[in-house]
Amino acid sequence: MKCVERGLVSADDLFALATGQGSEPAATHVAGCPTCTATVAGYAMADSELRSKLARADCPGALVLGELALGFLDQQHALRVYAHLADCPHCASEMKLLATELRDEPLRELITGPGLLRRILARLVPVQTSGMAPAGVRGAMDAGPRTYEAEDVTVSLTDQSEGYGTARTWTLLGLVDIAGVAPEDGAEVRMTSAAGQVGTAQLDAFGNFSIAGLQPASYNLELRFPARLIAIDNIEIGNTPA
Amino acid sequence: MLEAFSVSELSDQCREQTERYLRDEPSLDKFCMELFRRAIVDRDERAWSAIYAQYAMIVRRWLGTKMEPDEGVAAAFERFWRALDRDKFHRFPSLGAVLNYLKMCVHTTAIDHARSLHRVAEQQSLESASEVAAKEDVEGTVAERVDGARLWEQIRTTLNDDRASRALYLSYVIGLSPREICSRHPSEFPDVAIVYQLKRNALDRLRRSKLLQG
Repeated sequence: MKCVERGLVSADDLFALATGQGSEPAATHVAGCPTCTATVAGYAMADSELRSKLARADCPGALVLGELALGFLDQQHALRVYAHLADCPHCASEMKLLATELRDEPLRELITGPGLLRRILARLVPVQTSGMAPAGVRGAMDAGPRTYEAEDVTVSLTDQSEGYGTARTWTLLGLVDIAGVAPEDGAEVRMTSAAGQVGTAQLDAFGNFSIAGLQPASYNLELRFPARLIAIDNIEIGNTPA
Repeated sequence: MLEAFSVSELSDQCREQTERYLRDEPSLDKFCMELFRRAIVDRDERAWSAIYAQYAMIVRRWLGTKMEPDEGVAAAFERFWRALDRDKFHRFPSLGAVLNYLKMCVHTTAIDHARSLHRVAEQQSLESASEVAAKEDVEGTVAERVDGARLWEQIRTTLNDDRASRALYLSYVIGLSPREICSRHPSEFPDVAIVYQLKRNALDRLRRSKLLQG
């Protein structure tokens, strides 16, 4: 069977259509020509199968990329892989990912990670005769300071409100003291509620932190230090009248 | 002196020293290092089991959500085990370097897993296309039992044309669009039309050959 309008479309036009790049006149012709429809379908099939069968057929295994990143490949092998990386954005992207993952000392990251940190639940000190006032706090406090202890860490918390009615929000103010020494500057503070994380902060050089914009609810607080995580659960915020 | 330690004693010391390290306290690497040496250089199964027990949780942590945890941890340790031998082990200057290699095995296992998932998705997509093509009575299949690398070598040999091979390599092996090919390799392919023409001619030749039918 022959094309119904011979010479109207070229083989390149049909190939372009098969790869999704064809022109509208070519598409109109193919729609009415069984021969060209079959040709386009044949090109599309071959294109699709080559794409599937050959995709990354020449890429080195990921282990080779990893050994390159760690300097374990001999020079000849390394040069071949570098030549491939110059052509292949997929491997270049994986190489970049590996370089990032392997950049730091391997266990050091785990010291600050939550999975292996010692999690220490702080206890509320029942009589607050010696509760510390958070530095820099101004204005009336909605509730008296609450003091928590965990190992050598003492945490004093108080909340303070702003606004009225439905616009009223609370700020949690905290002061962290570690056995009378300067707290670790930059330790991370995370606050969560039943809805998930609601705020984060970092300790300043004096052990202060604040988290603003809180609604009345029960919250949990985590203080993340390099080798341990101090947790304070069930902190009630906004339970005092406006 | 370390030779006198049993695997059990080394394992206890390794665990204790690792915990000290994670508490940011001074710690010693030599016990864990000796455990790794026995596992890798001596191929001591008990030392290997101790390594697995000591580091499985850390490997799991490195793996994150990239793979199903049990499968990923086992595959990463197997890769580590197969990849290292006596010569390679002696190139590690410290325990940190050994653990970095283990970490590399974790991430490369995850990368190969992702590649494999992508390949399966491509294959499923091809199978869908095949069903459509079959309905249209169109022939044109690549020899299915030939793996990708071997098929590529056959294509190169069949074409015997460096420029056409290069266009097909960048299109199908690397996966670049004609526009990306011109953009990344302007001196070789200054015009998109040239890429289309080279690909179409190459496909015609391959379809005429025994390699591609239809």
